[in-house]
Amino acid sequence: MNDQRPPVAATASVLTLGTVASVVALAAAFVSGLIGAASLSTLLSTVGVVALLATPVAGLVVTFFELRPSQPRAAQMALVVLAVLALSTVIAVLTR
Amino acid sequence: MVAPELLVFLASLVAGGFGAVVGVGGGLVLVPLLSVGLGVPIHSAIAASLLGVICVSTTASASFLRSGLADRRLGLRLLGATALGGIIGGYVSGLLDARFLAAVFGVVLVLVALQMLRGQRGRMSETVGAPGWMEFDWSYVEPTTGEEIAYRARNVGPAALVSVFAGALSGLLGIGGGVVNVPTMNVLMGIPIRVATTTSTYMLAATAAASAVLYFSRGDVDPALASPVVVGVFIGARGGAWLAHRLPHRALTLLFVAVAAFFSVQMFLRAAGS
Repeated sequence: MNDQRPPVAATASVLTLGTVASVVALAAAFVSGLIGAASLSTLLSTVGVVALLATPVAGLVVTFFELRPSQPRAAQMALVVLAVLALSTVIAVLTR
Repeated sequence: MVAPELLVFLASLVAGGFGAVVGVGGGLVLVPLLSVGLGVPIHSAIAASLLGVICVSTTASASFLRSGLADRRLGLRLLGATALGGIIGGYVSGLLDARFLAAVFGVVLVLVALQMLRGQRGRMSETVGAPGWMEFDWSYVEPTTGEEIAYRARNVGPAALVSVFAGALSGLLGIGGGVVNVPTMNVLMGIPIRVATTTSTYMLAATAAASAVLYFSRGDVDPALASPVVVGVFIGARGGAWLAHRLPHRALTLLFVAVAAFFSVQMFLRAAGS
């Protein structure tokens, strides 16, 4: 039925890469905290959290380019979601 | 004396594993475990739980997309609504008192436990005739049988409205929105339960990110809490997914109901100020 399934490899790879990068940073932060290197732990933890928050965003950007040739409406929906996430960031900055 | 980070890590390991085995996600167990069990402020517990949700969702989504089990087109249609709900939940959470949040969490725990006792109903729409406006036909290959199963996504508009509520609940309480999204997709839209579950997992990361950014800007993301929680939930969820097919599901569901009942009472007590 779905003879023309759009490619997913790039999105899947970006999601995996982002998760691995953030988990590695957070695991290093966890170990640093246990051995008493508090400032290093805080730095690594912040890097890990930011990487984790950026991962779904990166996944949506890649999804847009993957879907655009075969499913343009779905690609537009990816842009809508990115706009909502941008709105979230704007609200976060304005209300901090 | 055990380091507090180690206790948080162990709690997250258990919550992530238990959530994956029972199929409700780790947040429902993690937030009460951190706030009631370890005395973490509830806003920080929710923020850390949201990070755990993102981690589990992105990991599982990569696998579900490759296997074709997650319907990305369906997920994207609902994701704008759940992410918007995530913003609402994340913003409102910052305005609410910790005791009120504890009470809401207690109510949601009771509702989810009741839903787990009822069990999931398997519904699926037929693909007869041409799909209407906003509807679309798609299919997936059922991994247990190798059979290609066709379905039609119906009621996209009403489902998107419910998705706003699912996202708000996720942002408010730090849980995955799957407790609302999966029944919505299955019962309201006629999506097969396997696709509904995997697509809901795909949607969780962006939904949780929309609200986590707000917690982050308010200073509710505690770096000392984030690292053991994410690492613990990540390992626990992977272990739980492996164990899920090897443990008696009914007994685990009943255990979850008992745990949910215990934590809901604890949350109500906290809300009452005792």
